[in-house]
Amino acid sequence: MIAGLPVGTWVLMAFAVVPGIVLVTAAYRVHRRGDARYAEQRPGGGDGRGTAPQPRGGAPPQATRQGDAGRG
Amino acid sequence: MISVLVTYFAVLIGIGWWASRESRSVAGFYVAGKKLPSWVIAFSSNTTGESGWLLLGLTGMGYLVGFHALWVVLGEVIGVALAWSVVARPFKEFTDRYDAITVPDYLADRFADRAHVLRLVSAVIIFTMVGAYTAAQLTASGKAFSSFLGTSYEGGVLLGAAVILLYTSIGGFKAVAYSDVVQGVLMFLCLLLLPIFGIWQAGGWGELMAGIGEIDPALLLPMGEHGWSAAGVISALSFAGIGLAFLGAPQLLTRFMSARNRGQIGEGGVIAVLCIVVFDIGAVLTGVAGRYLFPGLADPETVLPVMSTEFFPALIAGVILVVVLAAIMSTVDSLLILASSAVVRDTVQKVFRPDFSDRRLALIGRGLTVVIGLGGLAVALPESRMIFWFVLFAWSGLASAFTPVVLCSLFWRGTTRAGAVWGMIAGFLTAVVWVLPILPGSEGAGIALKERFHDLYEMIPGFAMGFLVTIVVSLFTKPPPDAAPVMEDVKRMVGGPFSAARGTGD
Repeated sequence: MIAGLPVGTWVLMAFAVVPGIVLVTAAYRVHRRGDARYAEQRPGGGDGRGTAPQPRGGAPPQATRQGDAGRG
Repeated sequence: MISVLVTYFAVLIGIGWWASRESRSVAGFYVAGKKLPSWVIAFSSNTTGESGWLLLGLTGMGYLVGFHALWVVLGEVIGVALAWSVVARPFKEFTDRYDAITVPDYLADRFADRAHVLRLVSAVIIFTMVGAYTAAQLTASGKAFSSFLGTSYEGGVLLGAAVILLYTSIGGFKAVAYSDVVQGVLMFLCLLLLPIFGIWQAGGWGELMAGIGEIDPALLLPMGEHGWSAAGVISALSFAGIGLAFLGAPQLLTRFMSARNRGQIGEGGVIAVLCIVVFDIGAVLTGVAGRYLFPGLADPETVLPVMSTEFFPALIAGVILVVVLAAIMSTVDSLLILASSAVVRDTVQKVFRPDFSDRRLALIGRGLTVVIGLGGLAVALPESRMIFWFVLFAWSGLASAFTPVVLCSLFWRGTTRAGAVWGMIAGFLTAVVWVLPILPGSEGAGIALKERFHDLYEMIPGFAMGFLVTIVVSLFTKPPPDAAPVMEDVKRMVGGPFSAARGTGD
């Protein structure tokens, strides 16, 4: 018993909380770096967060994405 | 207490009016024009997933089974974390490419479904399950009002339904998402502070644990009263399985779609997981403290209202009532939008009347929101059911139909249209049939498969069947010709779950 609770219950509580936080934090850090690098590679830049570069006063984001759909 | 309620309702209706500017088009009404920031989608996703079920149902389960309910926390935290770190990014990329604003939209484009079979099957499933889900939430509204204010159950159901319908039909998705933030913050504070207060009222942590141990030592054990028997393991699996729905339930996927860009998803995931930890642990601990403080409650799902009205002055109890209503409304409003989109966008606009203007479709959407809400009302009014399992039935019906198919569509290029259609139908039907009394029992009464399998939660067989049928049917049919290159390109753009984007894909 630790603080009135069986050790197994504390283990369950730790398993309930820790892996989820580690998982999502790791994914966030990896993708933030990756998106920034990807933005640098793209001709014309972009904001590195998944948005395509926008021409000034040009088409809205949806239209730009539609244009992307033909790639690959 | 009434003044707190009036203020809260005024804030919600104000948000609905403010957001109505964005809701004049179909995309504006259903995904807020895909412009939402990370913190809004995180709170909106969590409050949609966690309804009156969290504040009344999960606290009640903590009261009934004690720390065994931590299995629910485990399943939900891992489910939310996987959804944000693995599913959200490719799903956002696919839906942006296809200009999809609903999940059936995405499936129809992903599988080149010219015959609209996926849209129609999705619409039927969404419509059916949202009706049940809405009814369960309105049941929670009736219980909350009658426990806090002493109104009749029916009066509480009607009052809750009136407010939800008003602000949802005015504001559309943007109103829903931003009101979810207000509601999520209230839920967060309540579930952070209420268990602390409960432990303090019990005389401290040690006193509470000793008292709970005296009531029933099994309440302190991770496997509960059944221990490591088949019943105990199945009960733990069933609790943990609840979280699987976060990976593909359409009302939650819509949040990822509405994000401003992929960058918002990374930030949103961290907020969402921290938030769900506080929500769920807080609810279980509130129930455990309530078991010690009020050991003889006839309905365990009234433990939170009882604690609030017994311990706090009317003003604070009023705020807690608002929090319960917030949890209920933040889910019902999202469900109404989901069901309305299944009919307006996926059926009327895409199948029958593509010539209708955006404004006309948005107007039909508002009308349908009211009609669906009234249908839920008709089911909720006659009978007060147990919220925990009633909500979970609808939750599993939606998730069993969509999650296996969505996951296969995102990560397996061999998935075909026929596989998706039959996988959805099989997952949905399995979850429904699992709880129906179809087996012969004693004295002429039927027995459900669920009872035969130690109450195994219907989502687990629903998922298994959904995956099995999707995969088997796909193996015998042909995937869309462009599936492989498009998936490869999406993978290059968004990276894997834990590997960064690798290039432009050009």
